[in-house]
Parts: sequence; structure tokens; C-alpha cells
Amino acid sequence: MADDPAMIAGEYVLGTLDAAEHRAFARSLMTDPSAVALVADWQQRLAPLLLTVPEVAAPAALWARIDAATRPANDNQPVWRWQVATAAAALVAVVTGGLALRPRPASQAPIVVQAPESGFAQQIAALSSEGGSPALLVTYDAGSGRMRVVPVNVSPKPGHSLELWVIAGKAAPKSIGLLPKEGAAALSHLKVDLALDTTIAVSVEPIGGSPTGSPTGPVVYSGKMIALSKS
Amino acid sequence: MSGETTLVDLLLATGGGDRAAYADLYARTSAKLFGIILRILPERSMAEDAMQDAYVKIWRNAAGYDASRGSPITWMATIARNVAIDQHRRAHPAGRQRDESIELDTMVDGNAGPSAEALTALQTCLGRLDADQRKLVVAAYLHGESREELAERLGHPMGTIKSWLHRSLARLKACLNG
Repeated sequence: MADDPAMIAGEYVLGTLDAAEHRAFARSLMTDPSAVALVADWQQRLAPLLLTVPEVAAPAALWARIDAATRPANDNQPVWRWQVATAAAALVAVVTGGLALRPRPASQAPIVVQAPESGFAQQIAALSSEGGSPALLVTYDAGSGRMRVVPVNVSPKPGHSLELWVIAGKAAPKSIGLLPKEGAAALSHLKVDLALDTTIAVSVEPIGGSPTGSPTGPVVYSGKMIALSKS
Repeated sequence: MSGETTLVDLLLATGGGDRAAYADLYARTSAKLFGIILRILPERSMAEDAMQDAYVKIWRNAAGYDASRGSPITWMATIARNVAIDQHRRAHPAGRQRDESIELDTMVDGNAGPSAEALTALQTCLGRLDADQRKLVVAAYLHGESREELAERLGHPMGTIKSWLHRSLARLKACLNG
């Protein structure tokens, strides 16, 4: 008799599946949206329990470690930052013609106007679900190492985070962080080897992103990077 | 002004690269997250490593927080729990015997705010389970016990633990959905 999928998902969120079952269920998350939804339901049901655990003061020295680990000089990982990327939006309009962008919410953040980088190779990707219209537009400038992401039609995934991956040539997917929820965002210090065929993909992950460093959830959008201009 | 709103501002500012907001966010939430992590990783040095990993993840992914999907503290607490469970499983793949007795009923009231309603509903439904069923769910979720560890501690086969877990989860689901 097969187990109720809702119970397997519940055990997955509880953490009580054994290693083999956990692997198999995590694989199913890549292809089965109903499994993803079941996991989201259980996370939302159980997470409030975390708030009942008594507080314990963290050791004073710990902040210094965390502060040091997240300083840009020490942290080589690409980091997402909010940005009103007006230049990216202009580029997107040129490439996609009459595509209607979702109106961005009013923001109190100062508008950062970026002049389009020139003289270096630029690449662009339109990420969509299979057969779908573009959900995200991504531009990358090799000279500055800056990637901009403009969401145009991203479906929210309750109880999950959307994680971005770079797949260069035949390499394993490499995480470049979680997709911000609203508006355009930019990523700096990103090194993409333009000589390789590069795909950008978005997967559905547990809140906070994949715990394993590889996609553990279904890939909902993907697109190949194509060169826009060369120096 | 509720504390929840302020945490949202801090998390959003952290997403914008604001170091002062990140430090403030840490100051306000570290005790909560450390408590959660220690329940799963009682070994202090492992708990501190997990804290560092969790807060680095929070720094890197703050721009990915979506206020429509839950409170900031729940988002951060879930990240901390996932990191702790992952490290616990890797450090003890075959399970380990706990030395200290688990205080399964030591719980404080959750913060007031958007999560309060969800927590009340969950506590009501947990209260409707048998004491053994409730302890099983809490041991797994808050203490990170694996099926193997539960089986060893309670002295029952893993198959029995699995069906008890399923029964408890089914009752919780029915209660919360109804």
C-alpha cells in the first residue's frame, strides 16, 4: 500500500524521512508541483512552532565572526541587492519590443541610474517556463561583473524561495542567490565565462534556498544567455 | 507600532546592503535563532557554526524575503532550522542518543503579530493530539530527531514510529484544515 503523499511531505518537513527516502522525495520536487505544494503547506503549518522555543543569548564573540564572514572583502559569493535598474529596463524594452512590464511598486529608495556599460560583452537571457512567455529578463555585463534581473511575470510560490542558478557549459548548476520578490535587482561580482553556453534557471526551493548547494526543487523558468554586443 | 513591522524594515534594509540594519536585525533575533538551533544541535561549537551559516544565508538572501508569505522571524527561524537539521544529519548520520531529557513542554508564548493566529491554531490542534503523538511531532520538528533516534529513545521499531508520525500528521492536517 503506497503512503499518502501528504504524509511523506509531512515527514520530509519534519525531517524524519531516512536518507534514501529523503533523496527520492527531494528528486520528486523537481518534477512534481503537487509535492512542492504539499511541502509548502506543511512548512506553513509547522513553522509557528519555532516561535515557542525559549531564547538563548548567543555568545558575544559570534557576531564578530558573522560580521567578518559577510564583509564584501571576505565574502566572494555574488550577493543580491535592490536596485531600480532603469538601464536594464530600457535594454529590455529594446530587445522585447512591445512586451508590457508589470508596473513597479512605488519605492522610497533613491533611483540609481546606471549608464549602460559599453565596450564590454553584454549578454541577455529571457527566462520562461517551457512554452511560456518570458517571466524574467536577465542581462549580464562581463566588464563590470554585474547581472540585472527584471521580473515581468513571475508566479509567486507560497512557502518557498525562488533560487537562481547559472549553468555554464556542462558544469553543475551554481547558485547565485534568491530572487527578490518585487522589482528589478542587481547582482555584482559575478563571473560568467562568456565562451561557454550559459543557461540561467530558477528553481523552487525551501525558504532560504537550497540547503544542499544544488537545486532540490523543480526548475520553473530557464533561458540561454545570448550575446547582445561585443567590444 | 508592532515589532513585526520593524523587523520587516530591517530585513528589507539588509536586502539593500545596509550593514547597520543587518547588525540591528542580528541583535534583535539572535537569541531566538540560537535557542532554535541549540534544540537541534546541543553541542555548542556546532550550534555556533550553524548560527554563522544561518546568518550568512540571511545576509545573502534578505532581498528574497517576501512579506506576503509570513513574518520575518518565521522566515529567519525556518532558515536556521533547515541549517541545523542539515548539520545534525551530516554529523550523526546513524543517529545519536541524547543525554539530556527533552523538556517537550517547555515553550514560551510566541510573539504577538501576524504569526500569533497561526501559532494559536497550531497549539490548539497539537493539544488535541494524544500526549505521545504531540511529543513525537515536537521531538522531530523542534529537536530534529530522526526516525532512528525516535525509535531508539522510545524503544519501538522504526516502522511503528513511522505509522505514529503519519497518524499524528494526519490528525494535525485535518484539524488545521477544518
